[in-house]
Amino acid sequence: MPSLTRLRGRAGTAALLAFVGLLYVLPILMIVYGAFRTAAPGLPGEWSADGFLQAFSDPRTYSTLGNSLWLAVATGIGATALAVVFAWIVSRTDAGLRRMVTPLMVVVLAMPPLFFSLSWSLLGTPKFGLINQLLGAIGLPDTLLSVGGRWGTWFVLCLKICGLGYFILIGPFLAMDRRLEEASLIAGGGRLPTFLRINVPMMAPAVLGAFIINFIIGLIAFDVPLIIGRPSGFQVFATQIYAFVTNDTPPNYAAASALAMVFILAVVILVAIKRRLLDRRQFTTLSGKGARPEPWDIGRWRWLCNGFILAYAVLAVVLPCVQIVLGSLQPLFGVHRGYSLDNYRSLLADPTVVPALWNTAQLAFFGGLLAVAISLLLGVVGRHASVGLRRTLELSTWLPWAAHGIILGLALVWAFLTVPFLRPLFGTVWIVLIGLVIASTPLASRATDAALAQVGRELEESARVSGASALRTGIGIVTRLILPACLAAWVITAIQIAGNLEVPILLSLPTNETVAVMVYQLNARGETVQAAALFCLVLGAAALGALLLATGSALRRRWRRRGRGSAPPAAAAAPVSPAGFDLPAPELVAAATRNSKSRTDLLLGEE
Amino acid sequence: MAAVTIRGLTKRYGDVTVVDELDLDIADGEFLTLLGPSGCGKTTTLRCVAGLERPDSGEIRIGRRVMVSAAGGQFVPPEKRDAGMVFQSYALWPHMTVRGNVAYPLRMRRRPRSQIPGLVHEALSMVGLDHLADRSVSALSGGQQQRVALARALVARPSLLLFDEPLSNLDAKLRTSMRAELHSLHKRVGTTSIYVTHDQIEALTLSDRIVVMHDGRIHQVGTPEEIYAQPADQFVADFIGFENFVCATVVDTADGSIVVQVDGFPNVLVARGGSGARPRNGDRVTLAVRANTITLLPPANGPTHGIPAEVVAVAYLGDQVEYLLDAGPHALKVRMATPTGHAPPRWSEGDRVTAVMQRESLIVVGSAAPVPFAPALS
Repeated sequence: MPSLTRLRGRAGTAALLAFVGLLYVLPILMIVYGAFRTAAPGLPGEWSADGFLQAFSDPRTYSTLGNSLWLAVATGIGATALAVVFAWIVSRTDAGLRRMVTPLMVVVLAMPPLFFSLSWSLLGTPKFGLINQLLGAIGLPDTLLSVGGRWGTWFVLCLKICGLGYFILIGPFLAMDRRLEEASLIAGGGRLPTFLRINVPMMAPAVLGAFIINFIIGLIAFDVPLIIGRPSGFQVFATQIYAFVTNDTPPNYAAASALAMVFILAVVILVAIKRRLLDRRQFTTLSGKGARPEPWDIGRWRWLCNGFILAYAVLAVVLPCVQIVLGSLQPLFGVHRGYSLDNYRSLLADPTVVPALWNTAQLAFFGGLLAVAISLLLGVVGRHASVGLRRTLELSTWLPWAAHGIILGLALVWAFLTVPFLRPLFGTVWIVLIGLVIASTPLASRATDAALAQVGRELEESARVSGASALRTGIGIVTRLILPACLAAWVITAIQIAGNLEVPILLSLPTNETVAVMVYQLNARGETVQAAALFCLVLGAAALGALLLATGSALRRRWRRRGRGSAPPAAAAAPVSPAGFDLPAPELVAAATRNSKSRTDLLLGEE
Repeated sequence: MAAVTIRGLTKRYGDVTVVDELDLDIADGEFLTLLGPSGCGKTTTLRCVAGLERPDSGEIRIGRRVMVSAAGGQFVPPEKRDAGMVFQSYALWPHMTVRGNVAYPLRMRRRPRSQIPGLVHEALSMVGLDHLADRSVSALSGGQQQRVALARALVARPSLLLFDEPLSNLDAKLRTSMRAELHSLHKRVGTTSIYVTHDQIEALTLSDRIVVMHDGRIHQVGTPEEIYAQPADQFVADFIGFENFVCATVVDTADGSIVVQVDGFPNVLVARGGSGARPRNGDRVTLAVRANTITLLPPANGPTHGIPAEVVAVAYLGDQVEYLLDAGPHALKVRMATPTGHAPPRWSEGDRVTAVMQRESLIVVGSAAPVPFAPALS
């Protein structure tokens, strides 16, 4: 990284913008290009609107459009409601388990959607799933619960994306001054009028922001509808795009791109509407001195809140984990006799599995590192850049939101087969890596931006005044201070990448398949227990990563405490960290989401 | 309007007792101030009256209604107490206009729709903000926000007004003018008011009576004059601005005046009893004296009750000069008006002077730490 002042200079800025443009903007342009081409990517073709005609004369398109809209609205409502309840419990009540919510949500956020879809498709299998077997054991029919189709997809998707909504809402909820509620009580409004007239309208912008993001995710959700919904005939937008490319012969790339473009347009319009509607109404920042967020004593309702948290933890994390681990040990799915490690043995004996594991590990390791490094670079530059440049950088790294998952895969296929100098990369692992890095940048930048925002400008300025160059300050002070947050971001991004199905499902070839794709294929072929065992290996690696991180931060704290005791000069030389830097990893992520100045604000509109 | 009665009020947070067996009577129409350092329990007391905290024991009545009685298990929620409150952070609802904020208590009290605009206008003109009714509250300055908060507290004509350090977010100049405004407002409206502050000037200028609190207990209740001139104990004296404390032995208590021998001073002095218990001959006592009631004279022409001392530090304060004196075992702080025209010269460090205390300026504020020979004298 050259000096920041020079980066702000023309050459540096141009290079940075070109890099960002290539990585984040080009794929989206390629979708538009592809929608108007007659031939498959990389083949000579004509300009035409046939893609649109085919896509929109196909009756499947309209039924999937309806399904997607239904799913988007239902998930938007369901997941946002869940997130509101959790944010409210954590910020406004004294329920004992509320301290468990944030770590729980970190786990939910970090777990790839594939985990939820795979485990719930197992859990909800009539007769063989864990829940149905438990129901059977207590005398109820063991076919009572079936997770599939429309409502199954909705249920699992809500469980998963409620985590994101929670982190969007918890900041504004915690920032709300309790005095505002007390003033209403004194003015003569009871608890209910206070909630309806004060809390609801004040939180409306944040809640609506969360709703729109959940809506967008519901609109383009891929993994969950593919695994839970499609077997019983519930097709959505994303699975339809996938079907145009994989089921039609020849693959209809133009129609797929046309659908994808409609989606991108919808997202752009939604974000624009949201910014217009909500951004002028910034309520949560207004509070004078003496403002404290304190929980209310809610008396007996506490048990209801605790029960709610517990139920969610069981449904979202405990049951899925238990089911996947149990399933991986069963000789046949649902058979409780003869638990063994046979599935693992046969997997590891399979000549295609070990390379895929190794491949995925490398992708997760380097992809996570790259995503965090890029986010950090853009964040540090953005800190010192002009408003215009900062906006451009922010907007472009959020574009992967508009080109989400399967659309990004499609876009990269176009980009790598059409742009001449990129073509040699097609079919290699590099394209998969690039796709995964792009797809995980929003998550990584969320963590790094929030951590960066915690480093006071004075810490940098004092380093500059003391004679450090911009580069030295950037690396020696800023990066050093937020290193623990970056490590946490790396682990979470790596887990996301390892479990990402949407990007590699179009981009990877059988020679460089990832574990996620393999898990999907095993499950689709009915080799359920092998799929569970393979995913267990991913889960194990993820748990190991999280454990290493936790141990590392514990060791660091202990080392630091001892250093402070015996060698004061060393401790004094250590960077003065603002409050919050000694937190263990999961809380760092929480701390990261606590402040409102992250790049998320572009979508949430609290600038 | 209503009188407020507090009996045996106790509030604990875990092991910490914030308010300890507090008894207090507030008369109808009175302006009462709870004064004390932070953490003394004044805000907690106010919040208990408002209904925002549930006391662990004790009883609070507003008018004839029992608002909370820990023994009787009664608790009237804040919205049913007919109070108005001004918060330190103003607590204006940012999603409503000025008008919306002020109209809220009326809407909550289900006043007829037709009356509301008139009452809102009246309350806003009382605080001089009727021209800003349609502004968003976040577009107002701090002082204006404070006035909106005041109008909101007043608008429904509650029977009790509660103020939680309302002026502490304002700058010094604004605070002075808001203080005067609050004072005249209370004179016009006459609602029973409880005002919490840590600022002694606010307490002295606004109140009918002041309650000085410390560690959850009441140290003194009295009019501003009583508190200022006759602090009951050393804590009150210190908090209300007495700068000097000296230890002494009582030598005579004939005809109402108390003659004391201050440790290390050459002559006996006459002191006034505070509002505490009257000391007897031979008692060890602590005396308080204000810095501005001591005059410095040249050592040569001092009166007989003058105290020989040496100036050890001088600080120029503008209209006053502050001297630090070394007088025997005591360090005395003295403030005198800055000399103008042909007035006597200022003293400087190292000067020998005679310090003269004004009559009645020495006040007994409590017993000193016990001294070994004290029993032998009594």
